[in-house]
Amino acid sequence: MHLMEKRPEDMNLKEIFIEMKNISELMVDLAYSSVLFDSEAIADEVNALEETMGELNHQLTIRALLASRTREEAEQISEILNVASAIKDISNHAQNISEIVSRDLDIHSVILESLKHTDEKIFRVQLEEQSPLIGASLRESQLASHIGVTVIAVRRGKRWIYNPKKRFVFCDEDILIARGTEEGHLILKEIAKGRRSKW
Amino acid sequence: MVVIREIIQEMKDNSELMIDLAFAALLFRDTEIAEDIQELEEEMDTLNYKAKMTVLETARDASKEGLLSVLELINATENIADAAIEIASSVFRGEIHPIFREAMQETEEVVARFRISEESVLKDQTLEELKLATKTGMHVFLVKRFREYIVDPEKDFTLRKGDIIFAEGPPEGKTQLETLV
Repeated sequence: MHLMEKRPEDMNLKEIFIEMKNISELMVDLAYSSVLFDSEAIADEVNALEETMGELNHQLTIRALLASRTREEAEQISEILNVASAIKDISNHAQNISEIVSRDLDIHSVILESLKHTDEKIFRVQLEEQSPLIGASLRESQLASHIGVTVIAVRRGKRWIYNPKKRFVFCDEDILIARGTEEGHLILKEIAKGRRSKW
Repeated sequence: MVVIREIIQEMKDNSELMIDLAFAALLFRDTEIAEDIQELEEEMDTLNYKAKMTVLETARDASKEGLLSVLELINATENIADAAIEIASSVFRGEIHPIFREAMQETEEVVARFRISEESVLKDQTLEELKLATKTGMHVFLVKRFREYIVDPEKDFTLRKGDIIFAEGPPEGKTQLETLV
């Protein structure tokens, strides 16, 4: 599953930068999720995204080098390269987190305990038949704007869909991995069970 | 191990707050936020040290592999925080490429920053009463009050004059919110 609708070589500097920022945020969320749910599939996705990140960074560097003609432009471009490299570092550290799972290290219970108590929690809910979300798109669901919950990934049968787009439509039995506050989590649980129709 | 749990929680929360703030600092060219990030980094260093000391103290009677996973996680959060510092440091170097602003306004959700003025209709009301999310689609994810940041304020949180609120949502929501502030 690819996040990008265009290949990195067809993207402009700005598009590459946006993609790098989005991917690094997704990678951090997925990395913590992989540890929290001890999921090798999610850890594998983090690895795949890290490769994409490398390619994007490479393309960004080329674009940046081609874009500057004057000293002033070069100074500004060097800032972009700095920030991009920091973004790439973040993705690298995210991979270090998911490596706890990839290397099959014992995940200490204290990690699970702490990840369950952070301000922004990562949680998993499964949609039931009577949930009002079924058949609705992510855009229509307004989960992000109304209850502050971001869907990071969806498991449908054996398949994972990472970073679902706004037009993504929910199906019965989808397992959602989402990020948000405890309050958002409780509301989403109710919605998923079909016990709540307004939010 | 309760202490270490709390330290890890705080480190993860801090590192994520620092990343959000770093991009906000970049977007608004705000050196004040960038300085706050550096303060958070000092806190991170202390936490990092405390966390590792605690891990070492428990090392005798715990599974080494389990502790290694804890150390890996601590290191990663600390490194993510360092990356936030790196991102925010651009703000101090003067001119920022317009591409940042464009890039950050072009994502599906825009980030807006507002200070609650004396005349604002939002003043002295709770987030629940305001129903900003339902009315404008804007989700308040951060409030700065004096030197303190409140992450994901709860519904009963009351906005005060001088609060700086950070909200994300659709571009139309930002315009609507502007008129209310």
